[in-house]
Amino acid sequence: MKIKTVYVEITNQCNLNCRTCYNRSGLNRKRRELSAARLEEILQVFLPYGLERFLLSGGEPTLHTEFDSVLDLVEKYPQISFGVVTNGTNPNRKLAGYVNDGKMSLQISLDGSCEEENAKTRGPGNFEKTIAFARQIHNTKEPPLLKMVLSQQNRGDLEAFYRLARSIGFSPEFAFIYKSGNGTENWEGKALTARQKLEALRTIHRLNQECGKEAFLPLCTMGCPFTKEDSELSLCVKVDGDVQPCQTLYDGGFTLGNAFDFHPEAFAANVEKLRALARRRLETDYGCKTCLLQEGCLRGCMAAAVCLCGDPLGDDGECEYRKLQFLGFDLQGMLKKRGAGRTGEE
Amino acid sequence: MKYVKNTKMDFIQTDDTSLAVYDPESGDTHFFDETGTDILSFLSEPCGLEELLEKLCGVYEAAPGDIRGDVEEFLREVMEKGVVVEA
Repeated sequence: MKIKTVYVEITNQCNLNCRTCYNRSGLNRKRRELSAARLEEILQVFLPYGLERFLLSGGEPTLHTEFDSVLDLVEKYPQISFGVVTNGTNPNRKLAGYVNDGKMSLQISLDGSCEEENAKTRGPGNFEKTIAFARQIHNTKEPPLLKMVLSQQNRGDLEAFYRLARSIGFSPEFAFIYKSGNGTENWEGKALTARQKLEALRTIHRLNQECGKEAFLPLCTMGCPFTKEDSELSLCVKVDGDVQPCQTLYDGGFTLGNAFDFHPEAFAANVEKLRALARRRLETDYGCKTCLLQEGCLRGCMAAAVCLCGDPLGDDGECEYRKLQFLGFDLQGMLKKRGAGRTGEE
Repeated sequence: MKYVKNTKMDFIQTDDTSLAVYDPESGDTHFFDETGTDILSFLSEPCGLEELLEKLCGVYEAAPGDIRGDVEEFLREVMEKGVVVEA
């Protein structure tokens, strides 16, 4: 089993309470965090599985009371690629230095191109703080990411956000809101329709072509990595050490083990159970027998299904987007490539 | 005679001007441009030729006689493909 990436919640504290936050960290009153020693224990657990990447998140990781000590792990484990996911409102000089020296990667979360737009999701008074921190980053070798979670609140701001990210030397990145945590409140008012997602995808693609960049496209999930025996896994470790199959499959019922009381055999057995569940999805009919994508689709995402209806074998709500993405985006790309191939032959 | 969209087919509209219709029985996918999309949108409910022409003339500012031939041809084609059936 290859575990390529581990995403760790090093603290449960957050100074914001974003309307799209998948785990409501901003509402945690009792501080819980993982010491540098505890984080090393986690590293030691996953190194034998071929760990390559270790992402420090939260909550807001820079609110960790010993964040500078946590960053020392970067020097101690040079074979691991470290990264931080931050809201950028609590600037840390050591973090900025490490990113600028190319010792670790950085992702800053921001949800608007200006104070007014960003405040709709992340609350007032945070935009300038984040941008001020972002401007301290000058790593041109590996541009850091500026990530926006798209919802009804900010979808009209996508292009301005893309251009803002580029103007400060960041790569824009986009994801769609999940029905989880704060995202569940007024879900109908926040969720994007399949047509709106396709529109966003096309806009990002157009901007990528215009700017000569390859910003990450928020493509729909065709299938789960757990369906394949040999796929590389990206796991998530909660602040209590519980190991989750991914960042979104957060329910305790899907915990694979605990990093501080780790039993490899039990862990492997739980991974196998989850794989069996993922394979059951492949055999479940979501209207697939009469669907255009019946051959290529891997029945979507268990985590999204749990968020949407509480059932890992339930509908993940993305069938329409998958079809629209194929017809309105993928297919056009395929035809263009085919056309280009023909010209080449001539 | 009245025409209506075949509900056994999957009508997938990617934007205001493009429509794909998937036939699960044959595995065929049919693509329609803006005009085809408009005509099919009027056939969500059973609709006769004269009524359809009237509706289309409202959208395209044309006289029924100008578009009758093209609409009849379109209906023949979509009936053959099974995209539209007799109501």
